[in-house]
Amino acid sequence: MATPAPTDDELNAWIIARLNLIGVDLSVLPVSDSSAPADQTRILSSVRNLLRGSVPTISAYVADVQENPPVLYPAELSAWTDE
Amino acid sequence: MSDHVGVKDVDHDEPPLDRQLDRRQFLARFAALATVTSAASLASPLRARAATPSWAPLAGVKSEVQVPSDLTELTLAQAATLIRSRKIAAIDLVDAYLARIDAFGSIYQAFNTVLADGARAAALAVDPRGDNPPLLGVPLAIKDNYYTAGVRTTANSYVFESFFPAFDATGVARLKAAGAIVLGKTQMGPLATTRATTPDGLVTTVNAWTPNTPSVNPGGSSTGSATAVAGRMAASSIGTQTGGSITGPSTAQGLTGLKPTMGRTSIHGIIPLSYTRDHSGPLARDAMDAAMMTQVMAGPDDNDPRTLGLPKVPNLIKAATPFRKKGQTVVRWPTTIGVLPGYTSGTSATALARQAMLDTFASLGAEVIDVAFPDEWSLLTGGAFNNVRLPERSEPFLEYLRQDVRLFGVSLSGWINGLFISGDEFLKGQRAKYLLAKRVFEQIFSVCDVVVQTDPVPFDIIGFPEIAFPIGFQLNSTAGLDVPIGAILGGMPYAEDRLLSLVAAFQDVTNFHLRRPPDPMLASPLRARTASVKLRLTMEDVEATSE
Repeated sequence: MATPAPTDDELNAWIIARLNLIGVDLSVLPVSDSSAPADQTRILSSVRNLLRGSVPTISAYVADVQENPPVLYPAELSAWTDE
Repeated sequence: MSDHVGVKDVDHDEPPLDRQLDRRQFLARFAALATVTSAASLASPLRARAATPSWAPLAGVKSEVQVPSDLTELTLAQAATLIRSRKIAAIDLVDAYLARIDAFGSIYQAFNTVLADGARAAALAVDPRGDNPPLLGVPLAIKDNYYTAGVRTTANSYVFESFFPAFDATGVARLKAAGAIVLGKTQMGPLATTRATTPDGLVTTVNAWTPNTPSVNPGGSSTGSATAVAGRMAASSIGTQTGGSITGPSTAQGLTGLKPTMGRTSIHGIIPLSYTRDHSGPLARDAMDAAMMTQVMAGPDDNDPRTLGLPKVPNLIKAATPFRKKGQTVVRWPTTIGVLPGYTSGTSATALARQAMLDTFASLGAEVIDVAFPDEWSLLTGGAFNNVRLPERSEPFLEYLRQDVRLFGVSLSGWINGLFISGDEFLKGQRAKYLLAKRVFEQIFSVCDVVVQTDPVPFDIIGFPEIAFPIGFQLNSTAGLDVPIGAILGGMPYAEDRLLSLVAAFQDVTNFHLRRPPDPMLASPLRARTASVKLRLTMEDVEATSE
């Protein structure tokens, strides 16, 4: 069964709650000011776009977990080579 | 055309490093480091190892030229050779660059700090008698996200506007140990995100080829480093790359930029952007200069675990020395160049220059073949999986986000977005990265040695090396001036030697890399018009072009 798509208001509430939980305060930005480097409206819009675009795409992707380890760096480990 | 005296007919020597590497072993080692990096990355800077790696290959650099009337015309190799042979004095070279900075610096805006007094003092202290380090007395421009001891290091961000590091980044320390002089710190995209702007988005640095038209993209985020070299305000420069920031400015400004393999050069002492994708490397005038810079910078550094246990750094100077057989320039090693679909499609100046570049490589003995994009290429290299890098921005900067989000100016959205990719999605992204690397090995490098790049991001995701170089020019109608056309080649891990050798061969039979931009017009109608209009990037502009 498809889950209901969250509304903008629901996402905004979650975004702000998440930021508040870790101590990040967006309210110091103007609510909406296109002349400002950033404002609350544009930041919330940007995060909503990420949540509706990139996040479901990444989440839906299936990669063989045995063949594709979730590694970080294409470099060697010094302990392997006594370096 | 090369003027390197070291050019001569020689036998094929050691094969390039890429084909000495076992692919499965590389992928296994790719996996291994994940378990230890967080602890190892806390290593003390006091343990720095190999602060002066072997300079032996640099002894082969002998680039003899007549002393020009304008010393800023010299390449790094030429300047170093002339200083060591006492035909020019380091102080005269430094003063020549300072004179150009003085004359044109307000237009180019390549630097945010010029260390005129320190550079002159260092130059006056140069004594070329006896054994000398290879870059003795040569002035360099340093991107402002590299720590420089006692010199303000801002990354063009409010976050670091009062930051004076206690030590040099490993790359800077090695270049200084090799005799180089730091001429200044260069403008960059705020926190290495986009073309150079102030923290709130006001455009600073211009493309050296169109100095009176700020709207022409100079490439970012190593913008000032590129403009400093293209505008002949430094002999060479260093930058960083997470999503095209060395190759982009290099192609935009007619330079040879090398983004080495992840780990080949240390990123210790560089303000981070994305830890798994940050690379350091040179933006230089030609392949030999890029080789010299990389030869000095590369090698193990105990303060950067990604640099440890890698194959030994090969002789990059030899690789970048044009190779001739029976008097004809040929590719040093048999090489097959893969061409991705659409690379030469159409009749644009770029398409024609790309085809001519491939034809030139074919005439030099390279084989040129078509290769297909690996499976799911668009998905695995596209916007969603590229965004997996964003949590790596947020994590080291969380204390500053808590302090005041306005510190991030026009770049804020990337740092906030990084807080909204979950742990499982981040790990999924790492699996996808591994899969992408595997497919690049299996579906591209099984049939060719290097591959053209239409976008630097895929090889930034997987940490493979890239080299950018000029292949032509086209008219920019806004500026009414010619601007460079560049190409990017990507290689297998540790293929810096092969990439440099190819570009050295290309530059031995072409002259795109020798062309210099005209000096800015200090008083022109165009200058008067553009000077009154301040160009500003918006948050959305930064998102669209961000590393």
